[in-house]
Amino acid sequence: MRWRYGRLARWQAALALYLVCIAGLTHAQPGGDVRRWLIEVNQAAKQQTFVGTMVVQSGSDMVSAKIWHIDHDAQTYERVDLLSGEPHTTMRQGDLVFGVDHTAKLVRQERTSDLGLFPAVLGSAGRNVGQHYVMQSLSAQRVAGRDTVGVALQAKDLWRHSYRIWRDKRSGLVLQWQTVSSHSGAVLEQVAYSDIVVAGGVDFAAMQAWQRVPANYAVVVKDALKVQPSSMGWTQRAPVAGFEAGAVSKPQINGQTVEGAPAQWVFSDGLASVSLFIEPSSARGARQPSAVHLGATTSVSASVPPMWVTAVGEVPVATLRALLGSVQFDGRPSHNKPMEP
Amino acid sequence: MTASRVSAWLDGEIEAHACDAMCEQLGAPHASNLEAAIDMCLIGHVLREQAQGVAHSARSARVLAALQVSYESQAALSTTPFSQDNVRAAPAALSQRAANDPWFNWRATGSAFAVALAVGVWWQMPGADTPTTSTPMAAAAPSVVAEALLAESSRSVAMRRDPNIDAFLAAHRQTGASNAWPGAVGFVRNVAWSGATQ
Repeated sequence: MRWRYGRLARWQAALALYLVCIAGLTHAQPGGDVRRWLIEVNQAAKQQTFVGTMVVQSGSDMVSAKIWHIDHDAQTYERVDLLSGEPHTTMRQGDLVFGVDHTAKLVRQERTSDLGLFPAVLGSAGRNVGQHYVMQSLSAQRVAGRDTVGVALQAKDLWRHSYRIWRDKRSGLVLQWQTVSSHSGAVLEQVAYSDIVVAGGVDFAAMQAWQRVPANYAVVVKDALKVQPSSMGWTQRAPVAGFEAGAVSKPQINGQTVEGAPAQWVFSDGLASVSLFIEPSSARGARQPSAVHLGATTSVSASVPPMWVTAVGEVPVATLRALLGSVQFDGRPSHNKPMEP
Repeated sequence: MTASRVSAWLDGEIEAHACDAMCEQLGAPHASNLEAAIDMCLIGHVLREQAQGVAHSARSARVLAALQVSYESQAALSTTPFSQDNVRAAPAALSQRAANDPWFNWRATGSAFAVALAVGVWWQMPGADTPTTSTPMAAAAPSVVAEALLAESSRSVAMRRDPNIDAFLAAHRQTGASNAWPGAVGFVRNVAWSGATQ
């Protein structure tokens, strides 16, 4: 009998140890696959129908908007109405976005193929996203009246911000997102639903009716021609903190390249991104180097002879300065060949 | 000179006494939060370099801390009047003056005079009384619409604090920043700030 009790006790101890280990692994996931988790979050958002009110807070500024979202035949349809400031409606149909300016009776059509599709995560930069962030579990909390599961994407260094994300337990939708300074721990920007109705609230017929261009409204097609940086004479001497260089976009309106408009060169670590806006130094007269903080977004301007470059991104100022210092214009543009899609 | 010494330190070629001198030149850190931040930086560095087995000493931490202090002081010097600190400081400065202060009255009078002068100049300009809706938007060719867009941009130059920065922020959030904000969250964020800056 004693032998039986002793064996039972050992089994119980082993079981308890196993449960403790499982609980620990669930709480902290330092080796969690960040990329896979991000793709899962994106897929959850695409497969839902919902209507909600979202509040966006950046620094001392706050904007609220109402969103209608529906997925139909593997195509995403959305309508967003600003509830703050001037009335403004934005429609989305797949990768086409229509900004309706009721004051000017103007519809701006843009093709943003990377909108919400995590291109950086799916691309080469995204394959290394796990090298820059660690996944950690957060305590559960209620957002918009719904129970959530929280995850922190903690930056491994000071070159980038950290993130806290709370997802709906039932639908997997992201209900709250915070950008947190890795340096001070302060919340720099956050987006959260104040109310949301999942699996209802809008039907496809209503969405289709909304997607029509209103009568007497003009349509302007804004697009961008993507080219290799080297084709414009730009090179990067050395990579900065895992931020990989992407394409350079040259803005177009109604199919015509906008003369004198700054070109945009995008860098990404798979999650955060930085844009370098390049224009001739003489384009706007004499200027001084400057730095601007707007919530999570920072901007630094500096001369990269013979051009003037403004760096903008959701990263610390030091990262922008490092990127500005890493690029150079060698003045020998190669053949201006558009990038392959 | 410091830059070359920092480079030498990164290459592991600097001696201990030279390292201390460099720290003194950059300015030694004292704040605990800064030290914590440097710890974070080191943690990241160690995690990335773990495969190579790179070891970091206390002296490395001191050099990184000194570099951080030096870097932040440079950033503070080049910050424009639009920085957050200045924006926060503005309301406090205004609150020290009452609305019935003579200084306030003089300022209000000056502002009213400036507005009246601007209206007068505009009134005398040729074509100022032409209705802006004389050309229907539906009948406008794309090029005319593009001109209208440019005119809209130039109008915002006079109204906003820094039109270049606002335009760059909007463009970045529309095309570059959507990576970090999944699905509807990213879309609403971009729409919200783009709409707010238009």
